[in-house]
Amino acid sequence: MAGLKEYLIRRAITFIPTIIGVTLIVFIIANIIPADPARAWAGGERARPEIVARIRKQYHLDDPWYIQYIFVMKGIISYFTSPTHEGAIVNPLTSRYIFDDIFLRFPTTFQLALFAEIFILTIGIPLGLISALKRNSWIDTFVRFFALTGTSMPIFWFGYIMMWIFFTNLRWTSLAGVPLPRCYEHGTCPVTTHIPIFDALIAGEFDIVMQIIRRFWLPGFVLGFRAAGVLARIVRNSFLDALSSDFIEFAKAKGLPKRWIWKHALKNAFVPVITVIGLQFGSLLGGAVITETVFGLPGLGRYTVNAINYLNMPAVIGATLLFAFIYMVVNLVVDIVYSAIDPRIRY
Amino acid sequence: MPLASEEVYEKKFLDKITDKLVDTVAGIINKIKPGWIVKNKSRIDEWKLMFYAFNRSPPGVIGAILILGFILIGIFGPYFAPYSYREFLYIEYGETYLVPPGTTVVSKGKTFYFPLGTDKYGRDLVSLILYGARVSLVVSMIVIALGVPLGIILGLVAGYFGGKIDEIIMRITDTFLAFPALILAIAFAAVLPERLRPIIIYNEQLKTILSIFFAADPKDAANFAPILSVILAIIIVWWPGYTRIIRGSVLSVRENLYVEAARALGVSTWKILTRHILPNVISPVLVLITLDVGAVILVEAGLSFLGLGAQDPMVDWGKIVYDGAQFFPDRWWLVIFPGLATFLAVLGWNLVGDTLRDVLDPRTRRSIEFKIKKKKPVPSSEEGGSS
Repeated sequence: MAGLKEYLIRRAITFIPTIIGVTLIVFIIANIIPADPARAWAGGERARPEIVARIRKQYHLDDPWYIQYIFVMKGIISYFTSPTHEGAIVNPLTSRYIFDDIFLRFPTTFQLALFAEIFILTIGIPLGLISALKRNSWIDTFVRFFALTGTSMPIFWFGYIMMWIFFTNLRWTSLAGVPLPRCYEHGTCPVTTHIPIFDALIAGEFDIVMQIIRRFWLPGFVLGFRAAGVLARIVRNSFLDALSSDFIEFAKAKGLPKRWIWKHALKNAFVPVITVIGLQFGSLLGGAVITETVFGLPGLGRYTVNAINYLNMPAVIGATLLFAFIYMVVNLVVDIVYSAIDPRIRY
Repeated sequence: MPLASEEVYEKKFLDKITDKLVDTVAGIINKIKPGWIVKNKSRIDEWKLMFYAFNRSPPGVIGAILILGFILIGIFGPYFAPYSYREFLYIEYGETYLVPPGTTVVSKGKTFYFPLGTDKYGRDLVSLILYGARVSLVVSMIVIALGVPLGIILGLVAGYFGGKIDEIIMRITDTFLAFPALILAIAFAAVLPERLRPIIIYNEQLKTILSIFFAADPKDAANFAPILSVILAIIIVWWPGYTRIIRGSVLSVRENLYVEAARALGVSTWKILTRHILPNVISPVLVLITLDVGAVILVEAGLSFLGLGAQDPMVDWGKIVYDGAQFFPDRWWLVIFPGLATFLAVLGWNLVGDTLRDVLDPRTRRSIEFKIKKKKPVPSSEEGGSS
């Protein structure tokens, strides 16, 4: 695998200007609001002037923008570098560390995305392969129709319809709370991943696992539905492309067994598929905000929307940054997998 | 007078309509630029052929009908709405509170009929959906009209000039693409209204224009700001995709000999970009634009579902669901009907985009053309030829 290491280093270096750019955009967003956030944070119109003044000083609201920027960035970095979170940025409304709040909500969004991704892959890939093999059959038409309706449906509308079917009528899902493993309370978890479903699995609390599945499968399905249809179409097209390429013709002419031909075709078909999965992850994160709202999940998306409503700019900065960071990391991983599968990419 | 080598096609009713459409458009262009029809005869025939291929795809035709319906309802709907979005019947006629579809309410000697029911203010849902169509139409059209050209121009500049300019533009593009689009749109849509509101309120002309655009009462001028912010926010997240695609195609097109020849002849850079490069990179983007109109409608609905778009008393489709969701599933009509309207509008654009992809692809189009050619033998040794 010569060259992979150099490629990874190069790719990691381009990561740095982008992440600085991302923090700048987030910072600009936070500074668009002309209203005085300090007053809102101190409790609105009746806030005591000395408290407002203290908050203004604490958050450097009277200083020029670059000092504010450095203050915010320092606040973010020091949360992760200092073990006591010395100097980390604090939520002005609750006086808790921003990232404490964010990491409290993150597992919910992670589990939602996990369930969605499971649905996307288990529906999208097999359906795409079947429709490529049975080209122009009813199942091919169905997949086309599925992809079209999936991309056309407002996610909240689909969510409410599914909720009506599976909650109101069938009671196959629950809508209240987020189940947590019991070992969190007693502190007896053998390993803590901070993701409830994994921790419950490791601790052997299978009833909790079932509860989590019951709570999350429907939102996950709703969130993944759109992407699953699109993925099926992509899998179909790239598999057909691969099957009709010269090296497959050659393999057939050589008399290779069908199993081998399939293996070659599949490997080549999955190069574009992996890119699509990475790109779709962005709309998955965006859709998660709406899905969390529909199903009342207290995740990162809900947190962001609430923070916006309270003009809680430090929280908005933190949450938006985390979203961008997750998306960037996913795309980085996709690029790495991509270059591992297809060595031609590493130019 | 058909020539021997000319292709004759079996025409259907729809083909005659689209022929008329193309001829009318050509006639209008001819009025502006005399002699255009004669010069561009083959181009006109090509357009007609594209329509023949399009007309033979049932999903495409259904999509076109949906789009036409969406545009007509968006433009004229508010004027035909039985009630204004500001008519809070509930205040005077208490019986109109959250009435289910198809009810007739008789209150204080007045009779009201609500085919799709009412909302919590006693407003007629049909009227609300008609007003919502206007907002959806205006938002999607403005975003496409401003965001796409912005992205295309930046892509052209980056790809053609290369070097430092390219590096700067692409780093900025990458930065915007590093965000999940909806998250960035949410953030901008949330912070922009406070900036835009004073601009709108103190500008009478802008107020008038926007109230015509949104079919809204000028009294709601303060509420135009959130919708305008949604438009701006979507533009901000929409252009980078186009920049990246266009730049990629420009990089390969600019190496062509005809571009070099034009440069050697001293053709101005602007002319090279618009006349020689743009036409060659635009066609894959056309399909994307069609699909993106639908995507913009969805994002707009999503943002207002989160409470970021239209504010009371103004409505759009997402806002009706946002308000109605608290009564779901008992008062299902407030969620189902506006969602259905959104779904159909978006489906229309997606169906047409999907069909356009086939029609614009010369390989698939050729196969469709062969299918519709008249089977009558042409008295000539040479059949077919270029269109």
